[in-house]
Amino acid sequence: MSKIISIHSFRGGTGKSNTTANISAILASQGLRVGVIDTDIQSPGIHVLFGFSEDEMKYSLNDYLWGKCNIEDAAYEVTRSLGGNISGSIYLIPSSIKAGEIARVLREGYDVGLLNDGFHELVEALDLDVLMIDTHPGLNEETLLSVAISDALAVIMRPDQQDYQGTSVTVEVARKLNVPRLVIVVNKTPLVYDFEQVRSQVEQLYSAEVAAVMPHSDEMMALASAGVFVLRYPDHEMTRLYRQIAQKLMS
Amino acid sequence: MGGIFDRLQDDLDARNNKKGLSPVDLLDMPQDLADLINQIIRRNGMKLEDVAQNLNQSIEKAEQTLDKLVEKGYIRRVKVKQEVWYKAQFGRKADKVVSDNIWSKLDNIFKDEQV
Repeated sequence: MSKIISIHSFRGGTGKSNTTANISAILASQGLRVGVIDTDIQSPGIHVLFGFSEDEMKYSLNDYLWGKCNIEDAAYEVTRSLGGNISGSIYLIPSSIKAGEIARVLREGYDVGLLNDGFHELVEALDLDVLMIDTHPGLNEETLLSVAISDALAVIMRPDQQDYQGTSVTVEVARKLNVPRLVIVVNKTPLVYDFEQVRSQVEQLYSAEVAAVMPHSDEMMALASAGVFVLRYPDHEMTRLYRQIAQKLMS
Repeated sequence: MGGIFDRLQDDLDARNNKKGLSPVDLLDMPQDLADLINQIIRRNGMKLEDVAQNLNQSIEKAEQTLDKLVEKGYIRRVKVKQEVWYKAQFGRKADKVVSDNIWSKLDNIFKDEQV
């Protein structure tokens, strides 16, 4: 039975795309067929982490939403280009990075039903074990749809007062939409913090499980989206924590 | 008074949804109605029997509920291999209402780009 997992945050810059890419790589390393769809149509970016360039993008999610292609035509296998020991597969469905196409989405909108059909068709057409959805921060149609159809949702936050408030909105929405599995990931935690205290505070505040409290990492910052962290640093503590998140989302 | 059908009737009477469903609608619906539509979205369609079972209702009562939702444009009937399925009827994501000047300026900027 395939799973749909959404990675979301209320605010930008929390590490959502990085988390999506790293968890996808971990699941694919376990032999699973993983699809990664970038529904952040207004500010796409996850393709960079997979080393996928605009030149290779014949079709994108935008083309599917405008009826120019089937959703599977906009899926690209990126497994080999990632290196590392991946026994499964990763298929990336990018959103267009062309400014004119982003403007067109903003101007004309799109058929939300097509997006929903696309999620389900992808799982079938590519025989996916997992579909990972990288969402736009905050709440909009594609975010709410992604959350509504997900079997599991990871809400990413930083230990920051603005994030605390926004996360409570997201958690409330996820509960209203009856997401079967909800976990919170606290990311970019300053090393001077007491991690156990952060975990217990967040769990108490949202009555939800914290899948991991991730430290701020200089190695992650230095990698600067030029690759997938867990494949570059398989023995790093962050990689262990990403495995823990993946396991909790799949359980 | 009670049960999903009565609450649904009241709620639908108060709504005039010509443009189809938006995921945002799920947030301000009564919980049982949101749950039903959410199930239909999550499974990408449900048969009448599955809805009746899900609601713990008779087939007739469940059909009445679904008819109301079809009437209001939240869901639609589709035929899949001779069977009737009920699927969410999403509307188009609304265009942004902004000044035309913005679009013409963007058009000028992107005029050389193939769209």
